[in-house]
Amino acid sequence: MARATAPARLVVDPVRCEGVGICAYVANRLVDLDRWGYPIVPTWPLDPREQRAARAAAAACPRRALLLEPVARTPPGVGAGGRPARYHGLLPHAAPQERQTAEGPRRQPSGPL
Amino acid sequence: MTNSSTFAGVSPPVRTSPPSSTAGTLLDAPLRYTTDGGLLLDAPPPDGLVAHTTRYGPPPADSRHVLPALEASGLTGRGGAHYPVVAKLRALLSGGGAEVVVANGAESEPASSKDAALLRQRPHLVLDGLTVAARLLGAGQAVIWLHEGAADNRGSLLAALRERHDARVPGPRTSIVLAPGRYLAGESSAVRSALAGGPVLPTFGPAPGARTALGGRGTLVQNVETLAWLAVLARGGAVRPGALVTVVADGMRTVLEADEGQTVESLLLRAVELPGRPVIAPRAVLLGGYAGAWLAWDDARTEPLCGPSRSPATGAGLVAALPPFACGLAETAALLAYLARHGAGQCGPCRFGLPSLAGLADRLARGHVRPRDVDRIRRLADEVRGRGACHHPDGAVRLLETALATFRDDVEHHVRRGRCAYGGHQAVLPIPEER
Repeated sequence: MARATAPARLVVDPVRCEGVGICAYVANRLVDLDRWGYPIVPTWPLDPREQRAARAAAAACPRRALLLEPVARTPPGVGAGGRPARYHGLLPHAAPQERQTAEGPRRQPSGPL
Repeated sequence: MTNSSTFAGVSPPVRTSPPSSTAGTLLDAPLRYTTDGGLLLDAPPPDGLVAHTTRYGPPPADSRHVLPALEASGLTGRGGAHYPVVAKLRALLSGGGAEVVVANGAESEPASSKDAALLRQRPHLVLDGLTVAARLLGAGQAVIWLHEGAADNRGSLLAALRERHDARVPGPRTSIVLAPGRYLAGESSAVRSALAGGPVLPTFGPAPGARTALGGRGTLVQNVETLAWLAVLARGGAVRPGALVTVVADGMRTVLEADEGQTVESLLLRAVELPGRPVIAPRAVLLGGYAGAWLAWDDARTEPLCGPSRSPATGAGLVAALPPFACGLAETAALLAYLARHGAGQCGPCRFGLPSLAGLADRLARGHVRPRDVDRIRRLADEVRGRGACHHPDGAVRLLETALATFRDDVEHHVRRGRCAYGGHQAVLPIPEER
């Protein structure tokens, strides 16, 4: 399926999200909850397996606050776009750099416009 | 005598031009306000239509050459992201233009008066810019977006619109819309949401300049100053846009035009320059706005305000000097408490995170902290940053983190000794009264 292999990123609509937390149960390897119960999601493009989990989490959200957003394919040589070798739980503690670089692209997933 | 042109204890600044030639493109003389309420103390008379035409020439007839001129000028928006105006316009043009163009004059920064000053002194220049943008994008409607408290600005704009109507100056159908006086009511996605019939709250959605629901076409939201520069550029002059800034120093609020590459030091000197009065070097400066960045005076002195880097200073164009006797941590705590109260309350991490951070900052300011609390602040900041629909939490976190870096020694002192080495925790920068 073309849809499954196209690179995509998991995005939280923070206005819709009310911290229900189902996403963290459905996709417990992908989504963590912060101290107030709001989801922390990975910022890098997801591989097909992660995308399946992300889609399940998005479908389970009663607020429809999780979106799977297509991202431009990373050019050859760039690698997996700053993805760490292993993902160790809570993102802001494990990799603060990741969060900082994610600020811009998260709202503008397809280039400068 | 030398005191009037240099900071006490600081080497004389390099002056690029004598004070007599400080007349800028938008403002010919600084406007002075009281620090607290922003009451106008001293200003030249505002431009009527005749004076405006004498000063800038007749309104631009067509808008075709505007895009290349804009591109060459490198003009960016004043929302804090330094988004190029030409990119926004091109994005809208590729989507069929805009239905409405909005002049955003809802100046939410409590200590900033640059938009109020511009709307008072040069209402016709802003309206010219609005006309140029509307013509370029094929928009039949224009909106001027003001805070509900801005009665003076509303009056001067109404007078200017009446003058233009009587003189048959062509332009789009223009209405003045009064927004609630909240901090985030001037955020551009909140403006677009409100004009499309939604709440006046920031939204999570497409990038600036993208198409929105209004009439199927886009909405252009630009700061009034950006539109004024657009009007200047459309007249065909080779202009390098500077920036209007509000300098809060020495018990006054001064609005003036910063030239490209002007340093913070020379700007402060221009702002407080009164003959025969000694000027004391500040401890640090707050650049950009209340959600801006602290910079130690020694680093800030040579920091250029505009130019290619467009460093922290331009956002909302605030340059606030922290007097030598004030505690930067107390100031930060007061500002952070204000920012926490004035969030939109929509996104969890901001709604819960900012009050927590404000509480910790307050304890730090009072010296009621242990060393590990400083690490707690840093961790909490990481957990809040970038997780709102708008950049309100990011700005608040930036304020706190730059404070921890700039006032490193104070943090040490507050943690070790449990008290402040300076004058205690009385904040200096104005915080508006809660209604």
